[in-house]
Amino acid sequence: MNRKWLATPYLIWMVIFIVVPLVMVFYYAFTVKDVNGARFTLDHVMKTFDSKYMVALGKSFLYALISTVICLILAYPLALILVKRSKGGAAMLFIFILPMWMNFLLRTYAWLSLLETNNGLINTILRALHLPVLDIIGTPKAIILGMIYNFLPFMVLPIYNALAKIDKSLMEAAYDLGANDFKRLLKVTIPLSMPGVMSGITMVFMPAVTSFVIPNLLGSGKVNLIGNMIEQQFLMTYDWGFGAALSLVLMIIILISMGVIQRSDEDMEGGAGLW
Amino acid sequence: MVKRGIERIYLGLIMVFLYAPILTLIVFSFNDSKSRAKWGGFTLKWYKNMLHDPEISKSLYYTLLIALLASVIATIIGTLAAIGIHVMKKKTKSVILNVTYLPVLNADIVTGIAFMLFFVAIGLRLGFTSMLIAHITFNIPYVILSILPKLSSLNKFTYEAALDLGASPMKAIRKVIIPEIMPNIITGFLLAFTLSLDDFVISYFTTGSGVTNLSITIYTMTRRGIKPEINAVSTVLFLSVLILLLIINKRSDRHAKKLGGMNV
Amino acid sequence: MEKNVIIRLENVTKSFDDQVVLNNLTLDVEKNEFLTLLGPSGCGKTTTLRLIGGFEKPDEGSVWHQGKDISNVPPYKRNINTVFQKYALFPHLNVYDNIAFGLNIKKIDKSLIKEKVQKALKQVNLVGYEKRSIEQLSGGQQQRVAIARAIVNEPEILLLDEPLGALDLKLRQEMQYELKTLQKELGITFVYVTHDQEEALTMSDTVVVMNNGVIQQKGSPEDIYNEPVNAFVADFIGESNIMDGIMKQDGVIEIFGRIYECVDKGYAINEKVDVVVRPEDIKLLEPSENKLNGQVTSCIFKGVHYETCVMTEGFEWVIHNTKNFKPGEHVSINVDPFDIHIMKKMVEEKVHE
Repeated sequence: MNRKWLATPYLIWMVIFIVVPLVMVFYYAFTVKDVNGARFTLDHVMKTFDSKYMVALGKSFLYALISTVICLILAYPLALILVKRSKGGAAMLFIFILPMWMNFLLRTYAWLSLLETNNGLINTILRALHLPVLDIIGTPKAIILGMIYNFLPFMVLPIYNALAKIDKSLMEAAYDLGANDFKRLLKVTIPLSMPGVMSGITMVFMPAVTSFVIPNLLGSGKVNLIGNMIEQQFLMTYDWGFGAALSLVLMIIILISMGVIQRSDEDMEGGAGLW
Repeated sequence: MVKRGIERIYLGLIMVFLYAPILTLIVFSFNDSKSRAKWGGFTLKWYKNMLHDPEISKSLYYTLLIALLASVIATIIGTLAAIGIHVMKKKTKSVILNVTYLPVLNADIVTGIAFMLFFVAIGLRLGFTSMLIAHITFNIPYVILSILPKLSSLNKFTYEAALDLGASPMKAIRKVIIPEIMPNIITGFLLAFTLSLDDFVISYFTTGSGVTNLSITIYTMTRRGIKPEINAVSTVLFLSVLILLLIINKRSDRHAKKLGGMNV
Repeated sequence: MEKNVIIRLENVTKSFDDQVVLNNLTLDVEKNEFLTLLGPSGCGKTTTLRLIGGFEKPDEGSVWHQGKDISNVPPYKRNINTVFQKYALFPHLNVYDNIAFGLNIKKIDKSLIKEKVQKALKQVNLVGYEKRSIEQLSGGQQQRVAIARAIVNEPEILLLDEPLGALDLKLRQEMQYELKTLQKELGITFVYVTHDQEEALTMSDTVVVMNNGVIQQKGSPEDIYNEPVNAFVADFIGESNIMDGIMKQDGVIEIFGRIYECVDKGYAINEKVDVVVRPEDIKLLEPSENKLNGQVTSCIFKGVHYETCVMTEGFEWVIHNTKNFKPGEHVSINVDPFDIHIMKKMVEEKVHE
């Protein structure tokens, strides 16, 4: 018996539960039901180009982009510091990703208590220090903060792994050839860690751009992102066809942008580079 | 020396940023007042009450049951799949892996909606079964991804040696391959379990008829105020995971890094 | 006394995790010489090289470069370059950019960089490979890029850390020759680390044999081979028959209870010594009354010679000769007096904690 048959149960599962559901999204996006049954339509897809949805999409991309950039700025030095500690580094890394094991919703909800304008802990401290209070709940700032908070570990991990993988002798070679610490960082460390940076960017940007929980909680429902639009189609207005079309547009944009990111980094093969 | 100091301060600040909400949560799980801003004295009553609240205990039950079932089934299917995929031709392999990555790479909301449309289309009532299937499906790729790299680093001749020594293919897999990839199977299982435990988006779209997990319960509560018992449950869960991870960490030092590296 | 010493390590001690790797080591490297640090793994040869390169700092003692203490000077401020063990080429840069790395850091004029890189490529026979990526190169080519990348900076000293270890035998021999030629051409100092004695003897002007963080012997390849100072060096450099002996008087040695003539002098009467005889210095003749007789145990064809093993009174000799003996044949061991090397017993060294 050939070992490859062991994959059979999975392959069946994969086709039924991965491929077919995605086909369903296409089906709903391109059909409309009436008395004669389902017929092909482009209405749903055309509707996604309405300015209302394009604005939501634009905002989603903008906030996700800002969050991703800030995550990168915060995570890179952090990963560098952790990698340098050859002994305690891995343990320290563990501390920085541990918060991910606290329930995501609860973690995000906790920021509400921290940020509350009147009684929140942060503002209480700010007031005690005679500093201006933060009034950001319900604004894009709170949403971006929530995204950074939730997705920062996704940026730290791949960068740390990429940095840890760099051969130490390359670092010494850069020194040997006259590069000081700063030039070495610029010319060797950063270029060699690019695969990690790229996966970090994908892993933060992707969930950020599609999130609907964070805007719901920290945006107090006042800021509608594309994720919220999709959620509403399914759970409030029950326009499934249009919801499917929105999901489809989102999915295609994500897959394209990920393709671009991966193309810019030839080392990755398939999706394996994400790891 | 100065540089070292700056590094410490930097690490400290990020740590405060990451842990502030979690510590707040844990502290308020001992708060005698229902307010999530004011301290009303120390109490353990939320811990005592948490299992008596039907809403919370039911969702905790479903959370654990689904996480356990989904991760066990996903580990079995995924392990077999990894062993099979590993020996496939390069082209077939890359096609299968690309499809496998889809649920990992795709937005959770799209995956969730795709499931929902699918279940409705085949006439499966949304509830326990649909949620379980969804969880198994998004868990399998993580199991496969935990095991495949190890398989390719194995000495491929050990399997052939086992055959040469008279073991049947099944026996060779059981006696030679499985023991070698065991740490990765465990990693994959734990990864699947924790992902399942924490999932909200996909569960949200695939559940119905009174079946909820903790995440969904919390989400519905956010509109009318979180019960303090939830803080207590989450603290218990967080500490259990922490202890579990520390035990695994102690058992094999490299494991934490791997588990960390896998967790997306 | 200061005749052109370019690098001096002075009483250097270095430990890692409480393990002493270099023990009060003092070494002079002369200008323009090809000096090889030779020894088994863990003998401290690489650490010595890294101290010169600036990648390690001595715990005690100091490193001098042309009369200046450079113990605390970082690598990027030393006019010394290294060819790393596994080349350490930058995978994100092509051949040209790898070689130009050091020059780019120094912000030299672009056209001058181009000129210098071309010259370096010519020196290592890689003209036309500028645009290749590192992964496209064979081990031998990567080796050449690593050398070019180092010498293009015109260092005063080139450090080479087992640079040929990853290459196959034939390529290794070719590169040995090329490295030697390159060193003469450039007229700079090479400090070379290897555990391969043949490599050391072929290329070097000076060989430094190390063991346990201590220099055993320093000398020309001929000296090291012909006059090893102790049994370790004799054993490490080429194959040797090493046995116990007792010095009876100047020029007379007792081995296995027999008296032999030798040429060494200056030992105390009845001093216990190590006796070393090279396999190629032994002649096997018909057994006879006054000689050390034995029986052939094996005889293996090795290409240029036969490797014959002979058992005499409990000691097994290794002999290289050109005649095929049959196992079981009776022979006698014959050595000329000047091929019997007498050396002081190695003091059983206590490990310094």
